[in-house]
Amino acid sequence: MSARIGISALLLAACAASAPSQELRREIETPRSGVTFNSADVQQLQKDDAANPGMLWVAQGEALWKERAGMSNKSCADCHDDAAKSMRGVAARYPVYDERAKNLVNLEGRINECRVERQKAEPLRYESEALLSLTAFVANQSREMPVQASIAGPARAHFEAGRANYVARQGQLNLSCAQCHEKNWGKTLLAEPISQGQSNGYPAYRFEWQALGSLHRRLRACQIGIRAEQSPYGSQELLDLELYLAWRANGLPVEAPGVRR
Amino acid sequence: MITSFQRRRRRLLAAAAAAGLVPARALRAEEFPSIPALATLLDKRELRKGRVKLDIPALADNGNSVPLTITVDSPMSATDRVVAIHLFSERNPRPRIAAIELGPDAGRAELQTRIRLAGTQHIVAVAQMSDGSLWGGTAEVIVTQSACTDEI
Amino acid sequence: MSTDLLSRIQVPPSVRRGEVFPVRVALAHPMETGFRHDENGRTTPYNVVNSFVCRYNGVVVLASSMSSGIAANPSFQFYVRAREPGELAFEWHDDEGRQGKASLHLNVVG
Repeated sequence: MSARIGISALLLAACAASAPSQELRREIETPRSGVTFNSADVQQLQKDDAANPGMLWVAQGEALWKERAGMSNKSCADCHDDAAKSMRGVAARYPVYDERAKNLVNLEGRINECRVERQKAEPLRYESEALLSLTAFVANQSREMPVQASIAGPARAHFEAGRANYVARQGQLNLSCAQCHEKNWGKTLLAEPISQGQSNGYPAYRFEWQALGSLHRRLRACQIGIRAEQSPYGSQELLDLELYLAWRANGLPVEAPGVRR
Repeated sequence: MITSFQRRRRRLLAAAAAAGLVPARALRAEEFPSIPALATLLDKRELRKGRVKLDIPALADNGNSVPLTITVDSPMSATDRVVAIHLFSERNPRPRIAAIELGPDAGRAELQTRIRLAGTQHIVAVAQMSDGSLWGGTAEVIVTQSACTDEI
Repeated sequence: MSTDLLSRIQVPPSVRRGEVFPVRVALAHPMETGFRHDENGRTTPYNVVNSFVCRYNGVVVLASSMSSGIAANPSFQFYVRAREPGELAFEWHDDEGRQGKASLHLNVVG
């Protein structure tokens, strides 16, 4: 058994080394952002900072960035100074493999790691106003930059797990993500066009939610859509999926805060 | 001769109309939809059709947030201006959406906002002029259920 | 531009006397309809921004009263005719008695 695993690891490494390889070719060669599957009104709203409701969270995040927190009595700004400089490019390459955690870390996870370990404060819950605001603010510093998530080295295994989840049939409706978002994007479901399910627009303000929400919230909503059990916020499945989706979206501009219906 | 199929179809349409799923009949050009709150505001005064333009999508992305621009044809001068705009919904649980008073410094009788619409329906905007006259405009918006809603 | 926690309000950096200019407002508020319920059937009470007033050097330009028919995180755009330089003051309340306030300087030339 271990010999077989050893050989396939070598093969995988060989494939990773050569680029572009058959195995790493994306199903969708030229991805399209979800915003292009929304109306002109939504596209206009996303572009317009004065009207984009997600910017309310970015503004709140900017204030929180400077607010002292926890036993350390330090703010994000105390270590990271001007976010426009220090945070530029961060969201574009997340989630990343973290050596210390021996796992993927996404933006929410990194923010919480700083809060707990450096600010000596309580971690923030997913979808709390504070975490949404900070995530939106940090991600906004990478707006317009192309998504460039790496799946090299130890990240590769997580990428494979995410991809396996993406193509597996699941839920009471027995559908995989790929069936809608790779095979049938552009077609209409009820009255709405099916997007490619790209993640570059998150966190996003959705009319459906009447609020800004994280990518994990959107993925959990998809799980309801196919009547599957929802993965918990911040779970391994959603982290691995997040990496797979980022790889799928490589090249698309970070849009945070996105606007969607 | 009326076939059983036609009879069944008529019954279905009547039931649908009774359930509010289809308009009982299309509105004539000079008509406004029947909204009791609107009738209360008018208090037997005449509502003239015209001068009020409603710019709203025919098909909403999502009923939670529908963009609307109300433009009233008025010079907005000291003696001839719009003093108030009232916005009504035909089918929302609360038919009065907003009542906006405009002061003398309002340079244009034009407002943009985003409204909530609980299902396909008409909206009506009433402009109250400085001479006391009331002008109205109406528009119909189709609102569908979201395909993949995560609403519990 | 005013960007305090509860609002984002935008006016042009400067306007000419007599010019009609847009004011753009975005408020952070859930505009709770009172109809939303959780999986246990509990509803969140009705709570919306029910009034929004803009004053130009103390004179009301626009006074709006609203219901849950206005979308969450309400946004407005309306037009003001510039006279003398001064202050555009904004005030809004919700059903829970929370109040929001903002004010912007209006730079009028000519």
